[in-house]
Amino acid sequence: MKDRIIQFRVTIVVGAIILTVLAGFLFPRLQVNPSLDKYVPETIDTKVNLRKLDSIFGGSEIILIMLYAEDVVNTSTFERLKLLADDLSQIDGIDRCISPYDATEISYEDGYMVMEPFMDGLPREITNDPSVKNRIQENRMASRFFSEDFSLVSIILSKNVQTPDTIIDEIKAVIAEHPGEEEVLIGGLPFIRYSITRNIKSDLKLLIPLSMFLMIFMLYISFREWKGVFMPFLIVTMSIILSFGLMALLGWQISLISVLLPILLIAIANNYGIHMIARYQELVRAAESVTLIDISKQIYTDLKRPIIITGLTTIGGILGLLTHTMIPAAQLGVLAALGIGMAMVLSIWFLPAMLSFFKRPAYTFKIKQRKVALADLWLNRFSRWVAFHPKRIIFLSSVIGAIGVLGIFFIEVDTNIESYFTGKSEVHRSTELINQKFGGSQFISILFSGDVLLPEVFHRMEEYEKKITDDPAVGNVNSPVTLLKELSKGFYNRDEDGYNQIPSSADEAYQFLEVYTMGGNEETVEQFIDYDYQYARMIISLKDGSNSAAKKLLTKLQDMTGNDPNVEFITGASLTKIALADMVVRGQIKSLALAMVVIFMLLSLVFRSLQAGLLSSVPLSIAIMVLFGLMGIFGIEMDMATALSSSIMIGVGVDYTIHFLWRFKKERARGIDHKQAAQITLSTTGRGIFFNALAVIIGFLALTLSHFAPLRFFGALVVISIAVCLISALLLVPAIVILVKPTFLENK
Amino acid sequence: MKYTLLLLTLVFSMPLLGQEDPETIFQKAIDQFVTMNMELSMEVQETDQKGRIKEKNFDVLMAKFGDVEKTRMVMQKPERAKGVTIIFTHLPDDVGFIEVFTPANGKTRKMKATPENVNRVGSNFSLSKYAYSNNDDFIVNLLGKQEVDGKPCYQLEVLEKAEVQGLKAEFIVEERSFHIVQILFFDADGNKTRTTNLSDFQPISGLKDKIQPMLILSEDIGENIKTRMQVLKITPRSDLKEEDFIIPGTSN
Repeated sequence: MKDRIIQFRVTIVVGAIILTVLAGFLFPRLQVNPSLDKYVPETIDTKVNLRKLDSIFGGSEIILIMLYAEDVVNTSTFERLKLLADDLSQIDGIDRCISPYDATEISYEDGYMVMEPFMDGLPREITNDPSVKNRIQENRMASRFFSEDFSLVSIILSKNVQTPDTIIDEIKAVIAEHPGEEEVLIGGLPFIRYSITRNIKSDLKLLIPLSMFLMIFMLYISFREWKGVFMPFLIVTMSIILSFGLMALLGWQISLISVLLPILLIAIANNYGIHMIARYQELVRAAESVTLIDISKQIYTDLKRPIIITGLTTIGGILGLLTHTMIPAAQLGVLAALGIGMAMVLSIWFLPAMLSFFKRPAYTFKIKQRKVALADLWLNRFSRWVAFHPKRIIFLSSVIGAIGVLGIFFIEVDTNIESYFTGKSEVHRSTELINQKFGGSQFISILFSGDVLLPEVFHRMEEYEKKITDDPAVGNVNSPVTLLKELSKGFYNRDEDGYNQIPSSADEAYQFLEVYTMGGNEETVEQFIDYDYQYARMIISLKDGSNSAAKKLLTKLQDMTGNDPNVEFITGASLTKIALADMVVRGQIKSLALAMVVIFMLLSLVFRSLQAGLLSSVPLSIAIMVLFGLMGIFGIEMDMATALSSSIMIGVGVDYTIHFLWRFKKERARGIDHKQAAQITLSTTGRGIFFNALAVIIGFLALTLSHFAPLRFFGALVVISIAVCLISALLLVPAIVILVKPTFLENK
Repeated sequence: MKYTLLLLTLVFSMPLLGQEDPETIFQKAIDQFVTMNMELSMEVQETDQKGRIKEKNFDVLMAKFGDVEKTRMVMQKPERAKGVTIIFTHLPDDVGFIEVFTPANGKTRKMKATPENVNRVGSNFSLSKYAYSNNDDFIVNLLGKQEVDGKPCYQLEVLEKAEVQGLKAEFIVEERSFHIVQILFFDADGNKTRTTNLSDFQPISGLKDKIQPMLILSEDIGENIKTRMQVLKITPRSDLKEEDFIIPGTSN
């Protein structure tokens, strides 16, 4: 085979390059999909119910435009608000635009019922007029547009699910046309998704070059030779292009998770090339007369097997992601496995083929040899310590593992996309403000059906409203009761029974609504009661959008309304994420289990011993315990991204154990005792393992600069878990083999 | 709403102009309609953009007492709204008032007949605007001729002299019968906002040369709401008294 690589080197090099270029041509087909909800099966109850709710009450995608100032109750802010509302309502794709200018004031004065636009009833000069704030507070239809402290006033836009989130660009253009002193903030799920799309693109633009730069830097430091930098870099670049090409070919979309793909490949896929280059340099140094063609053949022969074994174990670990119900996670598993597979193939065929075209370099070794000696001195000291303290190491590892297990109990699962953004980002600020001052932008609806105009139904709604309002996660609760009580003010005097009360009969409720809708107020009514008065809904906004809060509230609502014959279902986009969280947890468990089984089987096969499979699983298990323990202890939530870290860690981390065991076995075969064999292995292969892990860690470090909190946490967690795998491979595995003396490492 | 108001103002309040010119054609067309002292029974079917339908039936009385014009609408369907009564009183030199009676609580509420309130209680029932027509001046231009259902028609442009919000309408008037078969409304930018088709013209017994379009189909293009008004019965009522326009047993 090694001869054929040289014989067909032109074909191999040109073929690989053509394949890569063809994959690159598929890039324009790639599309970004920021919504994780779309990956939740359409058949789950929440989504089925949500579709029904949308079909009854219309588009439920809310975009909030907020004017933020110390005090928004002043003439100029209101004028700007009006101009904005007028122009925003003209945007194609905006189904509904409501602002305080749409609120109605209903009263009974001097024998006349007065039903007028709320804002028309305000004095012309409102700045510094305290009565205006009182009037706003007294009218619930108007006050819902203002924050309690009057630092915010909002315009509520609703759009259909089919309208693309790029409508935000048009909204921003309208805002730019009406400058003012108030800060204008945009909020709501469509805006969050829009921001995710933009940030995914800028993340890719930032993280790929940064990661590449770090890789080049690492390669240069390691090899000090342009071939040492260029060839692994080329292989990584090709594997990234091929993976994304396949993604385009399969019609898969770029999600938040896909951002991890190039980083993963940069961090992992260069390892094989690094090993090949290191061996090539070793051979060049060893024999001055050997040609590069011979060296190319030799490195292929020497490294083919270990590269294939470590490559397969990494692919096996990462393919554990295939069991994820979450489609982007499974897709990442396939694409990363393919990318790593391509890097593996390119490293053992393409790299030697290409290397054979170059001229032999001339090396000067003196300085390097001195540095190597210094590094070896440290490694020798370390290996001696490990060899003589195996029990202490095992005890310490057990303690750390136990602490990790405790931490696991504190892990929380969160799939709330609001938490993707932190710090000073516009999304984070607007989300915080909406949650603090407007009661949140995520909603849960309770759908009532049947004769929903009956007073007893309204009374039950009112009772639920009172109970729900006490929940710390709940911001606002709105129901037809609010509207009907407001309408009653126009029919009854203040001192009359019936004023600001629920209508006493279904007919009265019907007639209130009929008179009100005759004037074209259908939109206000239809937020709560459908066109035919067949359905009614209660809308609950969540100021705490976390999964745990939503889940607790859902349980409370289910308990409360369980026996209500008119309650058809409880649903909301914010409940989809609970299903998403369940999928993340199930996917996590299944992918972990599969990865462990695959690794166990592969290693059992490679070393022809089940004991080997078990031993290799020990450092991984410790790393998993530490990983989840840290997540629990430091409150890092398990989400779409962080849930992937364990599978990736297993795929990558197992390599260090393999390298150690491989070399240890060789040393034992030479008749060296266990302690000495461990020492030699640590001071020789240990060095390679260390730099290999360092390269992976540096590659993943780039992720800590991502715009998205989950990706930053993912980067940090992978770095920590790879470090744990490294420490386990260099400390725990030697300690175990010294104490246990496994038979599979003995030469039979 | 403002278009409906203009339409009805045009239809019911135009003075007679010359002959054989656009104004004459227009006047001949609108002169066929009955304005006062009659009783109507009609069915209104409103279809929203999602295809959902609301059906309402009204009994309508219209009369003029001196300078005071009155319209009474009593809802007959749906059952839960039966008896809801709206009475418009238009005073010649003052803003009139609207009374709304809700039988479920026996309450009558009075509102000033500001344009906003007229909108509020009657936007989907255009005939309720009878009471608020004024003898404003209009400019009528003949834009040309066109065929509608194989019949030659005049195409008239009708503009308000007062240029109220730039309102403009086009009336399609059948050449032979002078029936108004279609009215198109435009906004200030010239965009079509509403179309109204009138058909099934029936003579009114006892009133010579007077007709009633028994079917009126209207479409609000912006809101995508279609309204179908079917006049079930029309009866001339010269016997109407002011008492007919008082809600019995009203209370506040």
